[in-house]
Amino acid sequence: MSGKCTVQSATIVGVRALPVSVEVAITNGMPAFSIVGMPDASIQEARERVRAAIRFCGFQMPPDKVVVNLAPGSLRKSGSGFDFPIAAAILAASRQIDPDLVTESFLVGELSLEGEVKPVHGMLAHCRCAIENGLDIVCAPSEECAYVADELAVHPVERLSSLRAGGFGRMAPLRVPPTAPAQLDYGDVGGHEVAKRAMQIAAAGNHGILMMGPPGSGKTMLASRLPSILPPLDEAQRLETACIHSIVDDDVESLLAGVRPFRAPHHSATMAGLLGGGNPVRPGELTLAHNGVLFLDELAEFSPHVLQGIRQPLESGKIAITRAAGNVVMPARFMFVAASNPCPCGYHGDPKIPCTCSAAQVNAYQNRIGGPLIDRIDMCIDVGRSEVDEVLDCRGGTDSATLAAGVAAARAFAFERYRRCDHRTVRTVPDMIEVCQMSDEAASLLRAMGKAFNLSGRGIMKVLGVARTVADLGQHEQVGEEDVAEALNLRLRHTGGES
Amino acid sequence: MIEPTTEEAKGAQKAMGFRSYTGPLLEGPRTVIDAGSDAFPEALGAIPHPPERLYVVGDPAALCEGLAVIGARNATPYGLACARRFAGRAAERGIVVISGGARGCDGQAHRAALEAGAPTVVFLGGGCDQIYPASNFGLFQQVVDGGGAVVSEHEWDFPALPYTFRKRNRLIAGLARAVLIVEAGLPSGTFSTADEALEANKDVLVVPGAISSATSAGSNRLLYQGATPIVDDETFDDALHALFGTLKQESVQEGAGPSRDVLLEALRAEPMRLDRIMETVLPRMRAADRTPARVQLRLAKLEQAGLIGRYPDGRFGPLTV
Repeated sequence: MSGKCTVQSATIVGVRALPVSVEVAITNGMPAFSIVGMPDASIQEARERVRAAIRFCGFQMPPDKVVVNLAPGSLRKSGSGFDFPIAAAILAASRQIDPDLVTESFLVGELSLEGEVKPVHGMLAHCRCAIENGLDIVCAPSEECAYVADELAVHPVERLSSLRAGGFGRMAPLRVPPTAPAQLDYGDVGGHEVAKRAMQIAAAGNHGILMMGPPGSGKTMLASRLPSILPPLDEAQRLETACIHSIVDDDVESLLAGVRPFRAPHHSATMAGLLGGGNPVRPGELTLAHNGVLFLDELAEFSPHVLQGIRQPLESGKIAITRAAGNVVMPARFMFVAASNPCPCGYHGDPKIPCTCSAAQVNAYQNRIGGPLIDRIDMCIDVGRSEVDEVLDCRGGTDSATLAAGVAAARAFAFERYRRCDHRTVRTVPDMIEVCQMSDEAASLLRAMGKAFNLSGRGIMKVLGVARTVADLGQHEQVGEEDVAEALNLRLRHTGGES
Repeated sequence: MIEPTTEEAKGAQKAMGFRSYTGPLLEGPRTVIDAGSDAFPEALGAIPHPPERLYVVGDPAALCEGLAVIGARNATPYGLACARRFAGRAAERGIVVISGGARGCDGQAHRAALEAGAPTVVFLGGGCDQIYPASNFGLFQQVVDGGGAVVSEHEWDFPALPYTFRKRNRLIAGLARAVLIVEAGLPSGTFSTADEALEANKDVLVVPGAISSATSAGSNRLLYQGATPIVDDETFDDALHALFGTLKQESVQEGAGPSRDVLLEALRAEPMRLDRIMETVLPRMRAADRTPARVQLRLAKLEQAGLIGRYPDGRFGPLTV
């Protein structure tokens, strides 16, 4: 008996599923079963699972030489998702099932020894690959696939034996809830009106923000509510972000509903954990925060070389992991939010609790976050501990809906402005000065403050950028004196030091 | 107490995990004054536990009775500004400013005296070749070059240890005719110098602070206990006149005069976070300034004028007094 069959599948590299053809050739010869085409150990193990599943479902493993080739041969493949396509291709090649059933489809799934088809990591990424290649997908019935079932024919298969039926059902599209699931709300944060305003400015202009304050002052609360005021993800961003998260088996429902991701890695995170890495390359926290918020709590506790590692992605918006086998590029465009105590004990400058650190310790601590990284942060606010009354009364104050409306209006205003300037991006100082259209008083205030506090060129650029956003929030075409003043107050820290 | 030798003290320093100073050494004439000699300052001979000898870098003649100006190391801009203002004023009248050369208020007092062109005396905790804090080396060299003196009761190479600073405080209080405290928390080293001064029967002058301020709690407590309050230039001049017989000068109030600015006055009364400013000061602003944006602008302008500054915890407070 001889025959051959080719089905489509994919392997995950970085944040994408790359198409792989699974070719099966059954030829006369010594009975054997081999897989070629740079498979990793988990694919080699597929042989036993495929053999057992085929037998258990009442099919027959061809008593001939079976060769499976995974093309393209130069790409290293990994994962257990090839079990199902290999089994289906063998069955089609030996004419135990109708080859037309599977040859024009995209198959993915892991097999149990009893022939049950199970979903694998990154089902959404696989679906996306199928959409791009214009194929139907045949896979285990997983909820993730149902979300894209309106643009892709999803054929759910529970067991390998279902292939005998000669046809598949089609999965009904599952609508994501139109309203986002309940989120944290700024209304829960008592007091901190100034910090909330700063968060609104940061969200409106996508500015990086650093919060300094003693322990328990509410830095984490403020940061974790940021997704609630950011505009929802648009269609393309939803699928892109959900794909990335499906690869690491995160919940994708809220992402598909448009809620931006919020990642808060612990400060023990390694370089590979933040940037991505491993073999095969998996996305790191920066990539998981793509289109959302990356929050680094206790910034000074992160290992310095890890922090230096995130500088380049912050600027370029993507991460390139370079390996001998080639580059893997992953997106990483996120809003950067950081929080830190002012000193090791946390109470430096607190009016009530004395700080027990020496000046040298405070300096060393602040220097860890200072330097090049702080240059990439546009705004810096001090978050003080709230008074007991403020916490208990919890009048709420401004809630997320109000802040979000302001952010949306500011972004729309900025976009309108941007459209009028032919979508020119602002890169240089003259560009920035032009888009700001500062009033004379604003310019002279900035000049005077710049001199008084030794602002660097980059510092002035940052102030102008924030001032532009403040003006956008107020729907002003011109950046006025007040906008510059607010931006300066958000940029300068500790202006009353020893000479 | 039996004095440890330099070697023993170095051992103790190592055991406590402190590093010894290895930076540049002060340049200038070096003198050792024995307790019995004529050059030994009389005032220091009269205190309890007088030093056996003094190791001086600079001009020994600078060791005359003067005014000690001391305050917290982790000072607020308010304390720094007070130290600068009163030390400068005393130095202008030819009074030697004595202090401990620490960061914060002490350093500001020395600087103000140097700027006024008057000699000033630094009492170090360790020997004169064991500069602490090392970051003030430049300042100490200026003190020596400016006709002042850097003094220690310990041998040149004696390390600075925690207890030597407390002991050193008695020399500051001893050489001074009066001690001016610009900012002191509770408990604090500054407070202990005030105790030494009282023990040595010296006058204690104190600049009050807001009762809500932890950094002025020690100062205010001293006032309650009967120290002389220094509330403006006039009261300071009166005190100098009584102590040193300097002539009083009619002076116009500068800077500190009450201004019409509601915001500045509110911040002078109590440093505040932006939240609090928006809550308590904003309603009292002029109608034209009664929006958050205008308050931000007023703050930036005051900051630019050098009248207010941002404290390490993010509060806005006065920089001048």
